[in-house]
Amino acid sequence: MNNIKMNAAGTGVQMKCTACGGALFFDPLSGQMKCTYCGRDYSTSEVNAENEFDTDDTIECNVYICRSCGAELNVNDNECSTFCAYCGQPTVVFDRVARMKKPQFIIPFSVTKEQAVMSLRQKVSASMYLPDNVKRFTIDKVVGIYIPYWLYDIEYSDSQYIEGTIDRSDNKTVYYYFRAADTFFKNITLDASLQLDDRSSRLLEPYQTEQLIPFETSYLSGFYSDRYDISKEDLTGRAVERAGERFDAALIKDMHAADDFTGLYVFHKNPKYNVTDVKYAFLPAWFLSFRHENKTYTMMVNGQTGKIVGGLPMDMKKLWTNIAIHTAFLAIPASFLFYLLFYSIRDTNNGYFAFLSFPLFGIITLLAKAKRNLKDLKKSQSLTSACGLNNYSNQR
Amino acid sequence: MIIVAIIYGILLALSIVMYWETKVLKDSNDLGNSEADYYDFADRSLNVTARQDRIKKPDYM
Repeated sequence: MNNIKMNAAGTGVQMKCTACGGALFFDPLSGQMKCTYCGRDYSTSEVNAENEFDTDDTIECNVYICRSCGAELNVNDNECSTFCAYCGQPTVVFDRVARMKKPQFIIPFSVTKEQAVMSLRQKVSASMYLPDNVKRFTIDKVVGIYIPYWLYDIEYSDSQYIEGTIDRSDNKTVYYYFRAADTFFKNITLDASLQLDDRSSRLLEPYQTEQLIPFETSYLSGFYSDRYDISKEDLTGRAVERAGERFDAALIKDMHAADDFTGLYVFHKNPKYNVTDVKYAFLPAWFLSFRHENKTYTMMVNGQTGKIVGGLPMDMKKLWTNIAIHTAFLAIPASFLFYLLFYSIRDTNNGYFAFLSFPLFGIITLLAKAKRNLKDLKKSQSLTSACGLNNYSNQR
Repeated sequence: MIIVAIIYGILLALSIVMYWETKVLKDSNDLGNSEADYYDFADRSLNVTARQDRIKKPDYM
């Protein structure tokens, strides 16, 4: 234990192996501290026992500011940040040395940088409509960031009057139902960073919170971390809202066991809740940036489960070419079938017009769904591009 | 009749292909989004304390 040196040097905590003088980093594969030069392993508790800066409820860090998107990043070693982990721009500048509130819990990285990159490559290689140069993409930046989260424990109860419609062969009946129930939600996760879009962080979830462990500074070594800038009080309302959504979904599921409903409408509810505990925790995520057509894309990988989140760029030319070719092939038999059908009902005036309107309804529905698919993808792309992060930053 | 059948055939083919191709595009390029709504809390199951089915319409409705 004595061969571990800790020093602050005015720029944050640095952990060194005195066997060779190399810096120690947390290794997600072994779950231990590893020397980058001689490969020697140390347990995290062994390192933390020596950490003289880990005694109060704050830790020292270097704060970097991104001039492009406004993000604040904390680097906990003596390494320098040369680009923004959120938007991938090389516009970060050292701002100050600061102390940040130490989280109570942490889920350490269990997905390594190599595994995160490999998962993304596998997804990319399976994509049909990716521009060719993106298929052979080189990752510009890969950064592991601990995202600050508030975890809420909530006791929740509600009594609801529900109107249920049962529709059986031209006989539509409305009945009324009453349900009262309670439950306990443990560890409802809400990200406490303004910089990270809520939709992005929600997509990164779920985290397996049963794997939370007490925080130790050594887990931060080799990674960035973000400080919370939304208080737990400010997020309580949203945590309760999520608890309510989950509660309502479970109650509706219970209702479906009672009857074969075609429609359910909750017309009266009386929710009660009690927030029993709020914990501050760091949860891991990898941010992988690459450039395409002068635009930076940042994909996110859950550092615990390996789930990938983000919108990849698409090759519109390839998409429209495929649509044109397949439409041409399908239009021939479709036209022939329509001709046969129109011919067979040519003498029935009413049936003819009904038959003309029916396919139109289907065509419009399918086109609307296609438009929705494209819109969803563009929304995801905007969330994971530097531009989207810039827009979000400007809203702060 | 032939012209109407051809127009309908092209429109139906176009809508089916567009829906299918954009679905393939979304599934392969929109990573992680398919699980967006399936947020799972580590909660215990719902404890239903009162259950009344097919009751009279409440007075205040």
